[in-house]
Amino acid sequence: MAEPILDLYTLFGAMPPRGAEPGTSTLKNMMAKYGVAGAVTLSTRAIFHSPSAGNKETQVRCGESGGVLLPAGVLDPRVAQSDTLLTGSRLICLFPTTQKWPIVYAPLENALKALAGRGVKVPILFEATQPGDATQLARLITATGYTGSVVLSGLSGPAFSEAVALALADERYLLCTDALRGVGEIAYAVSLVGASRVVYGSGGVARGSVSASLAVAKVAKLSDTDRELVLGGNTKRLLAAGGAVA
Amino acid sequence: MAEEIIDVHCGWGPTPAAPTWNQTETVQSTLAARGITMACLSSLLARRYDPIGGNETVADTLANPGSPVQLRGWLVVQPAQHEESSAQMRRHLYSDNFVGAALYPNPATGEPVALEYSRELLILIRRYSKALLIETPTAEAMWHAVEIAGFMQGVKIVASGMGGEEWRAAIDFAVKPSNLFLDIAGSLVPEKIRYAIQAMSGARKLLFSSTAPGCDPAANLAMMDEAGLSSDEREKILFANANRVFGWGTGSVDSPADVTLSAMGR
Repeated sequence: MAEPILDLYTLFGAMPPRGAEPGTSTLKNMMAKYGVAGAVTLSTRAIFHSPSAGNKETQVRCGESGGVLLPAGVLDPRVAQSDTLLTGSRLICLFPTTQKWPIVYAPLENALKALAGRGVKVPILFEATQPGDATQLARLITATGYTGSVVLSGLSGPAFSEAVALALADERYLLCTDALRGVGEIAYAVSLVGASRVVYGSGGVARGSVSASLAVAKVAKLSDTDRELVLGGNTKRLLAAGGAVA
Repeated sequence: MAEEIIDVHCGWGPTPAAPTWNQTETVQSTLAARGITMACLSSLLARRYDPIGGNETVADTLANPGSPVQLRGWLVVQPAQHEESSAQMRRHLYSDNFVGAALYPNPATGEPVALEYSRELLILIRRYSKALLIETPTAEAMWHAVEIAGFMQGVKIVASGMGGEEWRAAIDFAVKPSNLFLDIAGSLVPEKIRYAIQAMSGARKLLFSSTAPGCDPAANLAMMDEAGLSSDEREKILFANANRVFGWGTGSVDSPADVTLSAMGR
């Protein structure tokens, strides 16, 4: 592959109830072992404990990585003014299912408005596992004037169909491969929305396997050009266009 | 070079992403490209809607299975269709083409397979001296599988799915019954394999499965690679334990790692 492999969605840290999984060494080891040149990552502490402490931890660990890791920030609307806790983030992550908050939720609307008002256009990664959530988010994105791209993750079954419908209607919407693990699923997604709209994200190492998601992408029946877009080109383009949260 | 990988639980039937997963050539070529040498199929139609009709499509396929992957079948049985399932077991379970019977959660409600709803059917299954597969997508489902394993002493039971996201609790439940085997399908978390080996004091009760087309076998093989298993552990999981469960002869393997790397295009 001419393009380096880039993983848009990785996580490091513990997954409750198991605690004490420090640092990014496991993630970096897996990336090195399987030829992943760079990744956007976040600390699970930001999901399960505190977006403030977690996002800071993410920034520190990424700063120590020599450019291999780029920071994602968790926007947790349950926390007041959580949009102010994202400075330096290259990806803004929303986990409504895991964190159990609704999409129709004034704090989320306010946070997106505030980000749009500051001119932020960093891509958003949205946990779209529940049917209907992505549709509601899309309406909110339009209503708040947020202009960044939206990557939909956790796609299977009805959530996949929903993501495809949104992607076909608006070019800012992309599909993440983290839950596209079935035979033919990545190629199917590409056939429906185009290779420039499907982006490799593993959910590894805290929520998945870097090697498994990479293996599925590598055996997918795609042209070399399309595979390069999915495995790295699209992430490169998204990160370049989005910049960082100021 | 690896010579044997037994995928103990595969699906049979089209999906939107794999619309020809009911054609022998597609299934054969896809599995062979991942290094699978034998696969045990169960009908997706039978699991979700029509057990009798779905099983017959698998039986027809097994009559002309093609090559190079050896295909065997699971006969999906349904407690709510006791008489029909009983008749179909009489017709097919004496054949070597079927490795055993399979029970899945209620397709309408998602309720796990439980002894209280399946007792009469389980008594029938026991007569055939074949394996029983129980899909266990949650820890609760595994708890019920453990109870069934106690009821079905002498029958080898394959719990498929390792409890999904709840793999830790599911593995803890499954430690004791000596006739209960776990496949590695479910969550793609390499850590669960190491956890199971530690909890069960070895890999003797673990089996390889993909549940394709729902999950590409390349993913499960890669997950095994990432788990960092010894060659002995890999051999047991990839085929030796399955040979024991199904009562087949032992195979040989030189380097299962080569197959994993091949599946990943490395």
